[in-house]
Amino acid sequence: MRVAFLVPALDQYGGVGVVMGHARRLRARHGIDAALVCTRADRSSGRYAEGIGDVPVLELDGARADRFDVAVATWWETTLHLHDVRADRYAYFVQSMEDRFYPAGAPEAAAAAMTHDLPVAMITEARWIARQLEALRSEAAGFRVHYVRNGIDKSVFSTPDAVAPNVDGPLRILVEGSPAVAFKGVGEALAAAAGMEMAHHVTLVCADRAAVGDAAAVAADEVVGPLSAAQMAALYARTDVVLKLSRVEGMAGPPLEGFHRGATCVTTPVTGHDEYIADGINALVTSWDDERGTARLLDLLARDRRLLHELRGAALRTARAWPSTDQSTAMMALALGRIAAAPSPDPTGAAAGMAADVRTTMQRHQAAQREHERLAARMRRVESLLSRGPLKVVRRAVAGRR
Amino acid sequence: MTDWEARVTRGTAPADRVDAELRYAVAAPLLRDAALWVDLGCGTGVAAGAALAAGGRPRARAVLVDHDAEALDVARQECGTEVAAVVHADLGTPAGAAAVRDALTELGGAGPAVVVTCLHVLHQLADFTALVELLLALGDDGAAVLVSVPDDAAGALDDPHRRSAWSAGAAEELRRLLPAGAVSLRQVAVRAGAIVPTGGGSVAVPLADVTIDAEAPAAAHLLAFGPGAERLAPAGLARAADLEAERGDARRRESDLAYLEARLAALEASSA
Repeated sequence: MRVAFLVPALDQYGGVGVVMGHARRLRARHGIDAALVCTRADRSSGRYAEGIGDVPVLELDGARADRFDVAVATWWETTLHLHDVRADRYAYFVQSMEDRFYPAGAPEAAAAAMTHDLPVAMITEARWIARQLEALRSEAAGFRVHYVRNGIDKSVFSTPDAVAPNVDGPLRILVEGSPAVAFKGVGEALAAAAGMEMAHHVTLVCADRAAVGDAAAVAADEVVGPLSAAQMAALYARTDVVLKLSRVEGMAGPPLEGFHRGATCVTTPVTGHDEYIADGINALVTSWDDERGTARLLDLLARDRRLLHELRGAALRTARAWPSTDQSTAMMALALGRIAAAPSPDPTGAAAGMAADVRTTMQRHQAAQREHERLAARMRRVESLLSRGPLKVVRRAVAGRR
Repeated sequence: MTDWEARVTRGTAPADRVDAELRYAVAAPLLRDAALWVDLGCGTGVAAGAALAAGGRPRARAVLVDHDAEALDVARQECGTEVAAVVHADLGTPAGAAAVRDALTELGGAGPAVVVTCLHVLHQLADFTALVELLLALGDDGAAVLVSVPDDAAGALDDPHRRSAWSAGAAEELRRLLPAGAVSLRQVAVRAGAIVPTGGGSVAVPLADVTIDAEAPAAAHLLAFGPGAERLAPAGLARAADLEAERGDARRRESDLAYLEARLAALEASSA
């Protein structure tokens, strides 16, 4: 079987690392001729390129001359080029509802949302995404999304037999992400940790050091990054709690990596957290926008070391039950096999969804246009007044209107 | 206490035998109407035989598949029905899956009169793709298929034969590969006890209906698809526990372990 994965570039976009890993293991273990097709001409050879192994990387122009059994889009913008690649079947590996990465009203948000209606086979990494994608289709269409969880590299994030209890000393908190990406909630996490009464030590891991402002640097006891996967694994092993206050996630990988190394987690009920987090069992779930409440949960863990150890032990057991990258790719191989063997999905439900999205987008655009025309009319009146003469005259005219 | 044996034998701890028998008991209504029953990873056939004995000998002839030749020999005697073929194959490999297809072709191929069971096998394989592809292919040919996996959170993490991770999430991944209409079931643990008069003969004890909470954690996940899958109904199974035998087994394990450790130490000392 020949499979083309369309990626924007060989860099850290939309889970490209996950796709590269699948492509490499599909070739090595499942006899699938997987290739990457870069859809952006300005593709970078970022840090993921070194882990690509023998996976062929094609430019879009080169891929057009080829033919595949399955072509898979992996980020919403790559769907725009999906049908430029000739394939018997088309699929879309949805790693998040990507419209949420943009501000409401942004053109990209509407476009990304519409790609979820495409009448192609779908694969996703989280059940909430599968349910949403299926809900976009009519029930009659019988559309089913394939579900392939992101595996964890157990050779790097190896699970110890047991975690050593942290019976005293400051609560070791890890915050991961860039403060510049608002939906990662890094600022909120640092503020919550700063609001603790009990002793604690906060490590901020941020690949983009330029994004760490003075406030973040002050709030954290230590700022590190970028770190390799092995360095992250070592850091998690020295961590009690991963603090994750994200607003948008596919399945939130960092806390799960922390679980593998014996760290528990305090998290918002962000999408995908239910893939492996059970509140009060292996982690604590805090409320949205509750800085004080989050600080109190952290204080609870700092104070009640028996509870902390119980959560960490349960987190470790959860991690052991999570699939490895090899098992994850085995599921991907099976999903691709089913997609290749089955007829293309019935476009009926997808077409209805897409038509509804087009209508909504059009109405939004019309509303924006009306608002623009209203403001333009006001501007014209102001300009007209200004053109009549000195400011005094204008003031009199405005006062007269009152 | 779970022994984590790869195969159920007559010496398996009673609680584990009940769990294994129950999985076959669920499939029994389909087996009674089938012409051919393919048991992938059949082991010794003890659990199947015990489950099928309760309702009389099924009409279906069995195709027994396992990679342990000794287990297959036992299964011929124990499986509880006439044996049509025995396939010695490693189901973790494409060659093993092909051997099953070949055996079925000789018997007329898979179809609506064929029932396939694959109970607690997938988790013993590091790469289960060949076996899942075989199950899907048999389903595509029209067979009814019942597959089960243990749940890691229910203790399967400690199983030394475990080679892949299975949970509700993994079962959901598998379900989404199956044809529309696939049935999901979960096996849950039930605790039971009885009070009977001291002395006298055997006493039959009626066990009350047990209500299983919707949130009750699964000990195992079962998925069925193909003709008749919708007929799989909630089922339970109870056996009187032989505490004397269980205590005897525990004593034997402890003494065996102590003896073997001492023997190992002696051997290491002599070779040093």
